Amino acid sequence: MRADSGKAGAVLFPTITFALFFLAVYLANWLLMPRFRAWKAMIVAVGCLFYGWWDWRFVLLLAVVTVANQLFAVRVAAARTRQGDGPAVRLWVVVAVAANLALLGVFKYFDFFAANLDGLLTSLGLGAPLPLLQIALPVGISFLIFRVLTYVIDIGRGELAPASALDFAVYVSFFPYLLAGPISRASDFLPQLRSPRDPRSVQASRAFLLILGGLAKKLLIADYLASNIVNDLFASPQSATSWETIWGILAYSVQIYCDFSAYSDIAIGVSLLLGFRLPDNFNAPYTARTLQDFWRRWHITLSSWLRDYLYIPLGGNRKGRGRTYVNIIITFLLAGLWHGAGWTFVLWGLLHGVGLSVERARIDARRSRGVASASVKRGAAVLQRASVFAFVSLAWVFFRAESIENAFAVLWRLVAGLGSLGTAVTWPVAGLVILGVAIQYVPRSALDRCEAGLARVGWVGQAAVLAVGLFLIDALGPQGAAEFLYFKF
Amino acid sequence: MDITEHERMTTSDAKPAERIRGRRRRSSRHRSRRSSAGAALLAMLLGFFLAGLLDARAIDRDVRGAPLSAQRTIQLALLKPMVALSGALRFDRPGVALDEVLRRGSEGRRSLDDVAAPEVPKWPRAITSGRPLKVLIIGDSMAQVFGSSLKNQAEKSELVSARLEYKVSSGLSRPDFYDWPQRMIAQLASINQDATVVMFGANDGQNVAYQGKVLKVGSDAWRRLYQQRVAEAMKILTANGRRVYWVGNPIMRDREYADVIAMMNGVYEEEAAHHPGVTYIDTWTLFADKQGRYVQYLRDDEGTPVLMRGADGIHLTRAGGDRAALHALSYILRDWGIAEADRQ
Repeated sequence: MRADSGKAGAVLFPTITFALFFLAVYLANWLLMPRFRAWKAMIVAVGCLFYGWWDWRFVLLLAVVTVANQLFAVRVAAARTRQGDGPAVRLWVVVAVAANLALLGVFKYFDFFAANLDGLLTSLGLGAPLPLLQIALPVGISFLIFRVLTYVIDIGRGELAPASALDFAVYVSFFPYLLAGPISRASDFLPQLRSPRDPRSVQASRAFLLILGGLAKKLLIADYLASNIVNDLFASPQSATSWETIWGILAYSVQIYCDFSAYSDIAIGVSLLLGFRLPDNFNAPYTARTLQDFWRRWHITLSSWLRDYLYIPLGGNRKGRGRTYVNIIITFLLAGLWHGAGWTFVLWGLLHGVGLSVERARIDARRSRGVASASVKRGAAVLQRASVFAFVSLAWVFFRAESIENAFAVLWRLVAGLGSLGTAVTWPVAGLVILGVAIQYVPRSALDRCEAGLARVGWVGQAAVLAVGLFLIDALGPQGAAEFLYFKF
Repeated sequence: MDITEHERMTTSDAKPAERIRGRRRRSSRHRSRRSSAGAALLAMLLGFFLAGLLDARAIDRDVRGAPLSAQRTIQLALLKPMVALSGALRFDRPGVALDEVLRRGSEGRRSLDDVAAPEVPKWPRAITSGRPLKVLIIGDSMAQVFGSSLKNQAEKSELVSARLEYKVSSGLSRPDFYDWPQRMIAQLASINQDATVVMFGANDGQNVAYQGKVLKVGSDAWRRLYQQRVAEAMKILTANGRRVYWVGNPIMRDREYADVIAMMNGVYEEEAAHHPGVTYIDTWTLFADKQGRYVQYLRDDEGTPVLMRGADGIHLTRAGGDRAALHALSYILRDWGIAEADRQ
């Protein structure tokens, strides 16, 4: 055992181990596809292997989640056929949601609440310490629970029929999205299991581009910025100059985008090679002109999940203005908490909730004055984009910080570190920050043309592109692969 | 965030017939972009093979740096023909050229004699805000949190300036992976610190190949070799009267791992006693409970439980780093005659 053995033991996307693992899975995938039941059993086994590589006990979690939710789903569906949209359906859905959230709560939040409550009780002189369970947090459990909730809830709404237990097990344990999404909904994924995927129609060129692009974003941009400016800024803010702080904050915005969207891209690419579509998760988020627009472009599968399964059931915007703002804030507070058990995440969510409410209130006020949304001049659009990016970047400070004090220590340096420029903002750092934002302004049509071009050159050309791409990424990138940031959620 | 209202209105205003025709065009265009599973497999196999040839040198270097194991031996055996083929076909040239452009790779080896002696003695001397105590903190991933905590705590005084340099996965066992002694000599020349805080060991508990033999971790021969390497590091870092604070590792959750760590802590403590200028700082007990067992949480002064250790049962949290840092800092300040009161 060594200090870095946790990372060495896991199958991370940007490793040769994963490439070999994937080649084997790819072969099994297409060889077994004509025998669809065998294929499904194989995919479940591969998912367990992939997840169990971190910790074999996590496989038990997959099994419990699969069995329990399939039982809930059958119950909900039976209640629906008996009495339509009656109280029994609602009851079973509530039980299912509560059970799933309880599971998530125990793993993710128990120690957080126990420690906070313990501290509160001790400070009141009521020292009745709760046991701290010190549970190992299964990787990606928040993604897993949110994914399976779409299954039970959609069945309760009558929008989905229960799948066979085997199909559902495939949905739960499909390995590309197991660790960090995208949160592919049951209603999106299960229909793809109705018939075998067509081996003559694989979107290989798109997949190769997504995978190469993802690896480049992760290893060449995100990891470089993390180790050359971001980590130092947050570890020792007191030594940063204002100039370094500004660039460090922007660099983190770029880092988290290039890290998380890279994981999504690779997961989508890997799935395409196996014949499956996963939903898009990012759409040039830092080009957004409003915060609302930002949330339509950032972590799309989470924000649309929150919209459909939390915000709208809360009443959405149908219960008057005041209630709308409250609903937005509740939704984002919970979005914050979803990311982790910590006050920094709660504050990050609150900032976005309040920001969205203020933006909404301004739009409402304009509407009630009868001002139509005027076409925006070019200069104003640039200003809007810049201010949304600035707001989002400042909010990321709380997301990244180790504690609330740490976040304020970083923000304080924006004004307290005037004078010298410091040494952290090198040309490569500044260049990569700018590049990380600029790539989001590349029009989709350009990517589309690349894909078409790569399809035209055939498999030999594709092999050459893969070879040169992989070589350059490894040669220019840092040694050793770091974990993706979103694994911890 | 009423995304619903807007999102579903994105379909174009085109007439239905045109839309259908457009969709057909698009779908046939997209179909032409698809490959068969076999063609995609060939692309991947050939692509990986060519990438392997282009990158064989770097992959070989990475694998050599991995801990000794059957897996490493097999990987090296598999890589051997790849490296040979890559060289024969001159596929290694782009990698060599890139390393040169990025100035990676070997600089000339330096010895301690190449480092100029300071004009004034390093220790003892008066520390003033004009000439603050210059501390360098080095180590592996354990030093990452601990080191930044120490830097933050130390720099609360104007009398100390600190700098942290850590290398993840490194240590003293495997100079072929990362050559710390060489790096230490280079640091003496470029940073010219007064004192060095050292934290190694978390990755050192591995078998070592030495003079054609594999030394098993914990064996007498292994311990002797490790002792030599620790002594070499201490000799470099104490050059010209510099001070060294060698920080031992805290207790670990995994029993076997903790035993190896305790054995290495013993080596540091023993060697520190043989090297004037080196202080050994224990953190083992700092992170154990009253019964001497590993704990994840410790109570602060107000009695609130605070998380000290990461989920891996090895690394320190920020609170843990602060705890170790304050402990280490008290030794440093006392050694240099800096009063605690100056730290405000």
